[in-house]
Amino acid sequence: MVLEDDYFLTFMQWLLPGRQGIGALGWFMIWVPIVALLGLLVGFVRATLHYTARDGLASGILEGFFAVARTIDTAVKDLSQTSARRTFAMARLAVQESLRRLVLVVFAVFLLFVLFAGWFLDVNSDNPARLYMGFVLGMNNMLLLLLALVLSTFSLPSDIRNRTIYTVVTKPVRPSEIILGRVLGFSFVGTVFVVVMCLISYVFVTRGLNHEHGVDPTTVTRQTVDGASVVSGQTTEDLRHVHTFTLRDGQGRTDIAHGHWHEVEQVGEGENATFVVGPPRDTLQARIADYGRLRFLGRTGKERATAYNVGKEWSYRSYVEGGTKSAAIWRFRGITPERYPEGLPLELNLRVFRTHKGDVEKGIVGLLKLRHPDPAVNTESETFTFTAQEFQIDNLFIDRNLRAQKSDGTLKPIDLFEDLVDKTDGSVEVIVQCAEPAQYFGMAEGDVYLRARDGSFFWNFVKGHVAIWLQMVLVVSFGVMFSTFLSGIVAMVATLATVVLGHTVDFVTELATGEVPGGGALESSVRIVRQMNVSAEIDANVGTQLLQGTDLVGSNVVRFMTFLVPNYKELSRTIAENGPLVNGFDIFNTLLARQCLTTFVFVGVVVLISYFFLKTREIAA
Amino acid sequence: MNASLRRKVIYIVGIMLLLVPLVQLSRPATYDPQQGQKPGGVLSQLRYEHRLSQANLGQVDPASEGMRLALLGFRALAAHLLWGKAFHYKKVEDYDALSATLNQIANLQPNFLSVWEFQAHNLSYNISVEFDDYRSRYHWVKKGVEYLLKGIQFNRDEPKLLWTVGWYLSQKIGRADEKVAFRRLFRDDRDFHAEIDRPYIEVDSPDAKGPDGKPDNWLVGRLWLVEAQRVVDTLGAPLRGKSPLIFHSNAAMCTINYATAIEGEGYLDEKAQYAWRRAGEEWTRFGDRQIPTSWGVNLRLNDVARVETEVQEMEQRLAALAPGVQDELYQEKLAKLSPEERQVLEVPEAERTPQQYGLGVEAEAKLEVRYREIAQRAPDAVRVEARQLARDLEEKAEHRRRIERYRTIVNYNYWKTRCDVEQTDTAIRARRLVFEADQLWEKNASFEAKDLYEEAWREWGKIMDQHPSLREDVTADELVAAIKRYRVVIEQLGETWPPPDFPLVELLRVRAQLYADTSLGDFSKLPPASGDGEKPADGDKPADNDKPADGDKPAEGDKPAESDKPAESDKPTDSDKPAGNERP
Repeated sequence: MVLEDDYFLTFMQWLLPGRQGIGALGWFMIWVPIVALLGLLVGFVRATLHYTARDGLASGILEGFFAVARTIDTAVKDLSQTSARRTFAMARLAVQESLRRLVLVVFAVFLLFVLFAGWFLDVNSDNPARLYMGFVLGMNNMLLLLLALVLSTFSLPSDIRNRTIYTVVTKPVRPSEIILGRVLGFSFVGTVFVVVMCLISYVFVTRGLNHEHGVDPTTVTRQTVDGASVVSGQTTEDLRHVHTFTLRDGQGRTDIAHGHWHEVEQVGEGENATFVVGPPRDTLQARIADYGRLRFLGRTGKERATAYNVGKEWSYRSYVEGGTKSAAIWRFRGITPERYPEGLPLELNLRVFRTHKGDVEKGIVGLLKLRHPDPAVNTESETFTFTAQEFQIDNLFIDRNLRAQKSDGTLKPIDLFEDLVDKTDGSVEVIVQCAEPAQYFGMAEGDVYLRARDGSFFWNFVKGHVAIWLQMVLVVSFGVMFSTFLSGIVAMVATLATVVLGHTVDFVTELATGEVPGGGALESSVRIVRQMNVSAEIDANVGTQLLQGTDLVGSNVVRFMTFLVPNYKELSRTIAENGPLVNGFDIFNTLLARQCLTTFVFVGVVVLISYFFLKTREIAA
Repeated sequence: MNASLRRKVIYIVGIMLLLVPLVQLSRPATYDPQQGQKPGGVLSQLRYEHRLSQANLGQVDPASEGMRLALLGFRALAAHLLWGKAFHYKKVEDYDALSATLNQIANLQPNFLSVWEFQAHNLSYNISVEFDDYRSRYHWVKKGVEYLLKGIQFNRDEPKLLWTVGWYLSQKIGRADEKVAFRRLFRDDRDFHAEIDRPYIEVDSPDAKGPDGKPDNWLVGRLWLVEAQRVVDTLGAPLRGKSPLIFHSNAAMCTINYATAIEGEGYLDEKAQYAWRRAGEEWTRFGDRQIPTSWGVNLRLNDVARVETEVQEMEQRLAALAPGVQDELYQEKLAKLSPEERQVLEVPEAERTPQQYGLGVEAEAKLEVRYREIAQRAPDAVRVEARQLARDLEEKAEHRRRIERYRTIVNYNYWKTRCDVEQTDTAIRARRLVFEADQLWEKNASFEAKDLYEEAWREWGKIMDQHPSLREDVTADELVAAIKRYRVVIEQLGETWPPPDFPLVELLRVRAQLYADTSLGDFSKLPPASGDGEKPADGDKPADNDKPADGDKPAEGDKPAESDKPAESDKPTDSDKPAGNERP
């Protein structure tokens, strides 16, 4: 799982100025006046042009100014006097209209996808849980956004075109109520879909991954080790995988295959014994993890922001050098005996980089120890060794009863909470090093954590669908906004453009800053026609410079627009393939809260803009 | 009949009439267990003919067809986006997602061979090395092979894919740094054996089993390569850019590599002898095979001796038709050379300076007497006959040169000699002695190791004397490594290096001269030992044929071990190309 830096922010850290620059509130305070001023300016120019044509420039400017002032005055009245009853009546109308528009077709498509999903999923996948989750979340997201797009963008324009809007506007209904009613109504329809899809998908995923193994009797071997009966063997194949298992005195478990394991129990004794293989475990999880803050030491033991780059293109992980003082140090806070009575359930997900092959059949050994965060206390535990396991989670339980090395080299017993945890904030440091010279361990902040407990997978799944729901509400709001002044199909394309833009913020930013090889739209077109690859040098002449200049302006305009549309990629990060839900981690509630606040602010602003658009549109004309 | 009804009847009849050509065109092929394959409609037959699609309805993959149908005409765009995603997943090390994406790409464009090849290489070579655990590496090597197997389902009888499976099974498993572990894992991987088992590729057959009775990766890989050859031979399937010479040599090379591998694992007995014998037979069969060439003619590598004899006979006949002409022409050409050129020719080739070397080559070219020049001066009565003979001779001589060039590309003589030598009792004994000595060396039993090493060098000395060409290639590499260990042993025992009666001094001299390898001391100035195997007993012509491609120093790609081994993360295309230039 990939956890970027801002994933670990608390709600207040994200909202207020401080750790993340000016914070979300700061950005809000900057952008709202800009958008408001921009809106006023556009309104003023439009009104001025309108009146100038009729009364001349001087009167036009004056009339324009008054028109804007009048609109604001009316808006304040309209918005403050918006009736909940009328709004809900409009919402009910929107729901009825949605049903008339055969929204159930989307549901049928969804069922079709689920029914035939088995065709499209890789049966040989090493981690079918990820595959199933990725599939249903991606599909639900896409279908719901499509539904929201079609529902929200065609409603108002068709009402206007068919003149059915007259029956509404001739009633005492305010534009704000028409807008709000539509947003609420379509969102309600979308919500029902989200709930139904979430439940069906949950059943699909859990049933799809559930399976039963038997035991292949030809593989069973028995022996006695230290007086205990040890039975080993293999399970039968199911869902294209088998497990090996080892039982001591009739109890045991299988190895991890396809991302899960099973409990195995022996029933009966001797040659006539049978084996019962339990249901799959750890397939669908919601690990609740405590993350620490990470810092690094270089090879001389000096602190540095990152460790070393081993030449990988992706710089998410930083690599500590083995056999030197280079180390990764995590500081965990809130470590109390109440939360971790027995000790610390550490989980590691490291990467290994070898500068020489060494013994290819042996893993690289790592060192781990705990340390009191206060250097003045100068207490650290004995060092544990472990063999790094890549691309899978390695469990390492640190018992609270530890030993520390005394100055004479002997070991003395210490207690984790008494001797290593700082009482002021319950913090403790975990130090990870690579033991073997010229070999490296790659680590990022989210790679070592404490597995506090396991949450409910179902609720985690629901949280994932909350992220989808938020996106759906945003699309509805934007769809309604565009439909107030554009025709249906154009409104749909415009809304789709905001979704595409919101999903490609990173790309657009890279494009505008020139990080994307091959240049912008025009330069790329020339390259395609001339069959030049992206890295080939393009001729430096006036024409090319003109193209590149136009691209630069164009891509920066698009980049500016990314600031005005919601960052859908950010909203989907909890359900992304490398996000927490798909990888079996509980979605941070603070992250969800941040996403909710962002969405509602956007919806509020968009509804306000929609109101002005509808208000200024001369429906009756 | 009213107009409306009439119109409807016309429509229905029209639809039914149109159905007839439609059925003729697009009727799918089916398979009946009793009657066998039914060819289906015109489109189906065309697909079959051009190997574009699945053979019959039972082989159609619903996922692939469904995806293509659902995307209407946008599958190329979707494949392009997925391709970009696949690269992103590789970059961010999300290999599960990468694997799933590759399957989607392949489902979208199942008959685009490059996708299967490129991404299988990605899985088996580039991604497998990202894992630290050798078992995970092996798992991803298998994933590449499994990906190719899926590709073969969509692209029947495609020699390139069949060949690639054989290549990965043999070379990737058998040559990786982890080859010891990979070969062991492969031998016991029954599930994988079941996956790669096919009617013509029986993994459980004696042909595929190694000395321990379990499937061996070299031999199983060979079966896949042989199947690729069968498809080319029987169905005439195109090789799509692959050199026929290299393509057909790989299966035989597998048996050689198998024999080498089992010797390295300690099977130094009759099993190894049998393996070498089998390798020799396979190599000879390869030499007897007709190989298409880029000159548009076919040749057989084993024809070199026959063609040489024919050339000699024809030269004699030409000399009889124009007696003394060749010498006469030579003297004339010699007289026309400048004094500098004549001076250079008097300097032995090995002693010429770089400037003299160039001048010498030019002078020798000027001195060459062509067959047609001889024919031109033949007596009037036989001139016509002589001209015809000269033309035939030129053609025959060219054919001989081509065969020799092709033999050089695959190092044919070296491997032939190697197979002949390795199956002898002397060679097996010599190898066993080195193996046992190495084991003693690892246990620090220096005295015992020294004795065994010295016994081994005596045996190797005999072999090298009989087959001097072996001094120049991979056999020597392996021996030099062992000699280095021997040197450590004798220095530990307080003796001086090299010992006075060391039987492999000539080997070290050749190494020092050819490869500037002076790690065991500078033997390059040592004069060649007189009568030390300069004339090989087996009739080989080491001066011509055993010598690697470029004369004095073989190119990297000509060394057999290297040319078979692709770079860890590169596509194997370069090493597939013949080292030499195919066009004259």
